[in-house]
Amino acid sequence: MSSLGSSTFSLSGGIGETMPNKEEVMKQVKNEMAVASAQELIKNINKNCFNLCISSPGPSFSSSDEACMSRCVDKYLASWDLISRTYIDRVQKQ
Amino acid sequence: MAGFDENTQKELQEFIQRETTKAELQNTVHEFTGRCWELCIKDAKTNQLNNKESACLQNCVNRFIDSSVHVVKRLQSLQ
Repeated sequence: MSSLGSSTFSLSGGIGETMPNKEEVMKQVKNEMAVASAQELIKNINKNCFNLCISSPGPSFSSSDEACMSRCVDKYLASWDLISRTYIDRVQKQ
Repeated sequence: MAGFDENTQKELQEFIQRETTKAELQNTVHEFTGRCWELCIKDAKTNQLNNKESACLQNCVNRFIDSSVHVVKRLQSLQ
């Protein structure tokens, strides 16, 4: 991930290279997982909100298209939260 | 994970395992959200879920899990 390329440690850690830092590795792993999850979310929002809001594509991205997409993004995030809570509750009960 | 001492390697392995579990859980939520959204949400006239939509999403998750459990039970009964 080029946006995360600021880190200076090396995973190979060979002779002459800087000793890898545990905290750095953990931070990088957490970062990359967060990026992957955000990408998945964006992909799904695009797909589902496009289907819902742009059912017949006009000659421009109209203000009503834009307004629908905004409402849809909020609604999708609310759905994600609700489903996450519902799933975790269910898993904990079993 | 060369370059780490044994304790650190173990700690990192446990960390990776926890993070993997977290990622799997998140992926399941992504999948449920996509599937249940398609079933339950028909418009975005407001930016909030109404009671009917919320109930549908919750039922969708619970029924999907029930169905998966049932499939396993059914397959076991056929053995």
